[in-house]
Amino acid sequence: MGRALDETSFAAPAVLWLGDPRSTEAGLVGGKAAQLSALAATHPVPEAFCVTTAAYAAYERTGGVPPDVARAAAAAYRELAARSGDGPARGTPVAVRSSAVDEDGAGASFAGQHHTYLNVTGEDAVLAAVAAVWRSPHGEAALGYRRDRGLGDAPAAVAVLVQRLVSCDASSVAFSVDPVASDLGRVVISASWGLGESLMAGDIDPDRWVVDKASLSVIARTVGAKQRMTITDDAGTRQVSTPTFLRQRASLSDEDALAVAGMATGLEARLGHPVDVEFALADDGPVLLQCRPVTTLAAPADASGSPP
Amino acid sequence: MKQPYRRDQPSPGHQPPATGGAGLPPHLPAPWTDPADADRSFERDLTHFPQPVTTLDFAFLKHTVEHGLATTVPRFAAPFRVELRRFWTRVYNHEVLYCEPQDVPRLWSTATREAFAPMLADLERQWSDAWLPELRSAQAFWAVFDLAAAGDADLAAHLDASLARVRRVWEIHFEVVYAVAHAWSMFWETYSEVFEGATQLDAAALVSGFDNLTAEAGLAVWRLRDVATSLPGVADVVAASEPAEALARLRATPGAEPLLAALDAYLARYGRRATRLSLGAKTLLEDPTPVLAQLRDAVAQPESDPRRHRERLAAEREAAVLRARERVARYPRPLRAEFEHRMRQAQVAVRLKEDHNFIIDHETTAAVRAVVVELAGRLARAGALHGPEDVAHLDLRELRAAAEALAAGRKDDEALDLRDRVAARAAEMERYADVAVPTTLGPPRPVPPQAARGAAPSAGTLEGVGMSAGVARGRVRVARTFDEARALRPGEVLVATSTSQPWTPLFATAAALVTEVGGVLSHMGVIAREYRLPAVAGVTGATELLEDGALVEVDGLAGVVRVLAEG
Repeated sequence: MGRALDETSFAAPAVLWLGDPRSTEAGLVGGKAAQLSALAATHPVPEAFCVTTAAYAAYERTGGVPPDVARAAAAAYRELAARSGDGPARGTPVAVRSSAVDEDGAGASFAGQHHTYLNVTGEDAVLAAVAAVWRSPHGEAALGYRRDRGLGDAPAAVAVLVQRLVSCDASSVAFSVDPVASDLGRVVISASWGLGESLMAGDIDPDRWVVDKASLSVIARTVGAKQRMTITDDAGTRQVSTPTFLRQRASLSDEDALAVAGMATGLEARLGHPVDVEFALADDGPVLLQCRPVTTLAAPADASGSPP
Repeated sequence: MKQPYRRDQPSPGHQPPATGGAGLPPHLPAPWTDPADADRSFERDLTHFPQPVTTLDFAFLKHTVEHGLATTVPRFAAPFRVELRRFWTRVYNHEVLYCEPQDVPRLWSTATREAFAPMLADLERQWSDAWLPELRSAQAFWAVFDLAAAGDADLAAHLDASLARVRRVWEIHFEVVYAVAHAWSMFWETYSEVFEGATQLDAAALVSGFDNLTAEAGLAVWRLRDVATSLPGVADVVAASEPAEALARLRATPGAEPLLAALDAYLARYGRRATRLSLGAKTLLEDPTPVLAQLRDAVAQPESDPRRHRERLAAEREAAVLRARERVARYPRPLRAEFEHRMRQAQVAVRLKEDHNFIIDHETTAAVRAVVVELAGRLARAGALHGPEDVAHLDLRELRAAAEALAAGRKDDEALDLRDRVAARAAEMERYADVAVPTTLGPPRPVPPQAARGAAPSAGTLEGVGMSAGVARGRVRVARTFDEARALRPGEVLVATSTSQPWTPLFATAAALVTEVGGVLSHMGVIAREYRLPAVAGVTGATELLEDGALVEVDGLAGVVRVLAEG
């Protein structure tokens, strides 16, 4: 798995669909997309395509989105719209997310360091969002994060994941271990109403579940204040004050929470390391939006009982 | 943990500093019989009783309103009730709290709301399957009793039974009123959270334009107008007659029979109402003069037809609902469903607000009045009263005792020795008829009285609460009573303390409405919007500050009245 910036990468496609055998190569589609692609066959993930690191290399070289990349991405977006049944006229709303080569690696999760654009609709808006993601790794926050992790100042190659926006009532994040208590036997779930932005921002008090991994039963449940929530706007999203009716209600049923916990537990077993999984709660259950390794677990040795 | 709610015991935390009645105006004697009242807070009930009330009416209020309110505490965990007093012939309210004052809103929106949850699940069904059948059953009880044919003993028993019945009716009254208030506040809560910065008027647009009995009765006057104008020469008779003489003149007018028949039908359907809530007030059936005055106004405005507004209002409501749904569609499904539910309950609530008032406040009061009037006639014939109207100066205990004495044929019973008492109370009514009385008494209440809003911020401008959008100019017509309101001419601005149901047809004549009390969901707010009449409520002292003939501009959205020229 090599860097995609050398001359040979010109042969690589500018766009790859999730589920395509080549889209499990992190060097081509970034860590996030590669992970989702690997899970696409067995897990509910939104339909998506990736604008590859090969396209990013061309962008870096020319200082703009090359016409052939734009054409390929636009065609893929039209295809996504057609598959979603929304048709080309209205377009289909998508989430545009960064998927960097060294992000979501086992050593650094980069969570929230790169921009995500939700509810992007129309070819022009999607292309603009792709370009905006490519500009974002140069941002101060991401650079600081990289320095702290010893990753150097040079931005990594960045692919862009374009996912069909899941129409969801609630969003959820599950850790397959308790990252604070470093308890490997528990799944910890946060959830709130609406799209995931307000939850990911971390400045609201979400609903919480603690689920026992072995018995898959709810140990604790707290209904949080969920002060703000993110909803779609005509273009993009809007953070609004959460209506009282929703604040007073848990954003997930226990059934949903257990489904989320079960999926996180299964992913941990399959991938061989603790995971941090983001879900959208759609009409027919949780949809997997991204799955990252947990990189902040204080001392894995605790689990075996040996001293640190 | 602090126990916030004591249903068994009023809050001691609500004991204000004792004033011993200091601060009474020098021209007024201390009015209380209970010395503890000297240290209690009272506020005049200007919404319902802007005028002096008689001994009988006040006793009836204690029997019905005070009782009905008191039952909401044990039955629905209401955090307060209201005690009534009659000071200087005026009605004052004293709030009794069952928690700390600052906890009232919270308890109201939690414990009390929970108690109403079963009703709020489907207000329409609660009305049609529970409340309305019980009210109809009570009405049937009164309808089948032949008052004139009843012996004195049967009449005395019927009075007792009527008073028992009407108590339950007023329990229903407050069940409806509280359920309506909760339905509205729940809808407003969600609406205002989804539409930040919206006003209650914006929210009211989504629940306006539905039929209700009050609006129906108001519009029916315009159907009478159509009948009158369809008959050659008849409309001219209506227009040229003093309302009090119009009926006699119509009866003498050839070709007026269809109008007289339509009027009879109107009164049969809507006539068991009076122009004020009083056992002493004649119903429209007894004296249709107010209807004929409204008919005259309608005839004078051939181009006007408030029925047209209703279709437009319904269309505007549907458009507003669609716009709201577009925004709400952005929210999770549970909120979308709850928004629809709360909107539906609020729509039903607005109708029930009028319909319960029509049936309970008006029609059942009229039914009890009929019993009282029959008894009053007999007491007058027996010499216990000078005339039947003197019954207004008896309380319910005296009335029942008199009925029993009459039934037992105890002519010398002191229960029939009423003339002196009546004379003293009539004199009291006379003495205080034009005496100014304070709006509040005793230590300040922890929550400022509603009437404290709407102070005049600058010369020439009065501020209140916007009730019904629109801007209109006109000459002021101050009306403290319905009789005064009958002087209203088309295009004038009606300025009143408050308005009750039978005032409704005036809304089609007025250019705008200004009142001293009322809220967005008050009767006047609901009906003013139905008539697309610019209206401002909560203008303290409006009937004193504005003079007949002054030119004013009323902005019903901003809640402002501007004086453009003195009268």
